[in-house]
Amino acid sequence: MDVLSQASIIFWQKSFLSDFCVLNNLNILLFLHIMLESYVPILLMMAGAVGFAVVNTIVSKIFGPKKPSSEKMSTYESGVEPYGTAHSKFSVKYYMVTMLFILFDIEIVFMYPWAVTFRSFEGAMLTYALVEMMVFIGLLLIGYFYILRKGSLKWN
Amino acid sequence: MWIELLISVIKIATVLTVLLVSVAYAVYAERRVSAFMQNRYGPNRVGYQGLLQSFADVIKLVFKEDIVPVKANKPIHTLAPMISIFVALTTIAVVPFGHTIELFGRIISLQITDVNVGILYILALTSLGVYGITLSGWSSNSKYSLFGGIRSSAQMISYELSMGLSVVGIILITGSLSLQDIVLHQNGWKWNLVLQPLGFIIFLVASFAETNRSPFDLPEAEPELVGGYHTEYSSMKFALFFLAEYANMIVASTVIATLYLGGWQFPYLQSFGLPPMAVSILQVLTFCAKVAFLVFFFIWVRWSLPRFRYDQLMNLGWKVMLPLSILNIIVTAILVSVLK
Repeated sequence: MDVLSQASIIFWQKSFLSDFCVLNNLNILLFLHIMLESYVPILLMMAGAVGFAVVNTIVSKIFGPKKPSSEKMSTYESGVEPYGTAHSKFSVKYYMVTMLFILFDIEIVFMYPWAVTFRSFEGAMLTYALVEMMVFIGLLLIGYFYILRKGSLKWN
Repeated sequence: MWIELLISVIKIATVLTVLLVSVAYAVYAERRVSAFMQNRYGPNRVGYQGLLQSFADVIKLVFKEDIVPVKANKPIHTLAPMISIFVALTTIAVVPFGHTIELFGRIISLQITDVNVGILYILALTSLGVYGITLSGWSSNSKYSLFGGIRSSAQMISYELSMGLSVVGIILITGSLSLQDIVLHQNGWKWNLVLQPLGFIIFLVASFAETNRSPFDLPEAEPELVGGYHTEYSSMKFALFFLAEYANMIVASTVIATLYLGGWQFPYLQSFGLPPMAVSILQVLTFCAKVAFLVFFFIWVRWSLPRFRYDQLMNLGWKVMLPLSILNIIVTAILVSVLK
């Protein structure tokens, strides 16, 4: 490990221990250094996965036989002559599910920072953090029961 | 600097190789276990007891014709299986398969990388998996594929909600998103399985739905949709979907083991007074044993339970699992603040 990363680790441990961390240019640079260092292996992993995917997609193009016929290249429809296109209308229910998912998913994202910091609160702040989130979940549940009553989640 | 990079590359190569070989044997295990459950033999000819069957299948698929239907959207049709396998292989980057090991006077952490947003990374990548399946369904321009793709995307995003919510309970207990921290927190008897029983059940069921495994395998329900989203795929492109499905199953098992079953923790191993090298190796083996058991559990469930009907599936996701996971958060938050 080089001197810079060692220094930055010590720095980072100290700044976690101190309550307040002043963000000046040097600190931001050190922070970026640490952060990026832990993401380099992920980038390497992604490169490996892309390589695997590309090689396997190409390999059967090279080694496989190539005898196209109009029957073989047509769309499979259980032996019946395919009619129309598949890109047509489908149930609006799926759009409803997707929209509701986005709403709920965004609300879940708000819970993550709360959950990470929750244990670090003390005394009255802890109760405050708890009550705050209960109010938030309460609002979420009101919306949830509203969509249930409206029948947006009814499948038949 | 360069030596760190080299260590990373070695770790990545090892993990990818082990993952891909385990995928081959997960396929073999599925075929043998299902055969055992249905009182037949299963593959037992290629190699001793059929142990080389999966490799023979891969070689066969390489020499098969790569058929792309004329009406299909070619670039997306090619891209879709690549997305699926990419997501399945990269998710494992943040999962710790051991604590540390001392080799050649150097302490190496047994994890590809310990990012401080580990859980978010896993959730983000698994939700990208929806693209592979949806795009394959849409681009094939076949009705079976399209319905498989749409069903799958609706199913996966519905269960992603309960999955994301059930993990909040663990974060409340641990106070960190890093998977190594979560494992370190589960020492002794304090596995999250004991502390979060409801969260565990929700996460387990959601993992089955996210990996499109039975009883949630509606995207490829054979009687109605032929092959589902991969109806129009052949040769290695089909194999990539197949590999991705089993890789997802193994990765989901590693994540469940890490989050709820103590990861590499072997209860009270430190008090036995073993040499550090033996401890490290035992921890990795413990992790592998937990993952193997979970993979077997996935297979066991598939050959025991019938498939859901689509309305039952959506009702379970939205009307049972979602309220239960919110209840889990409320109870955990209150208990954490009281017991603190």
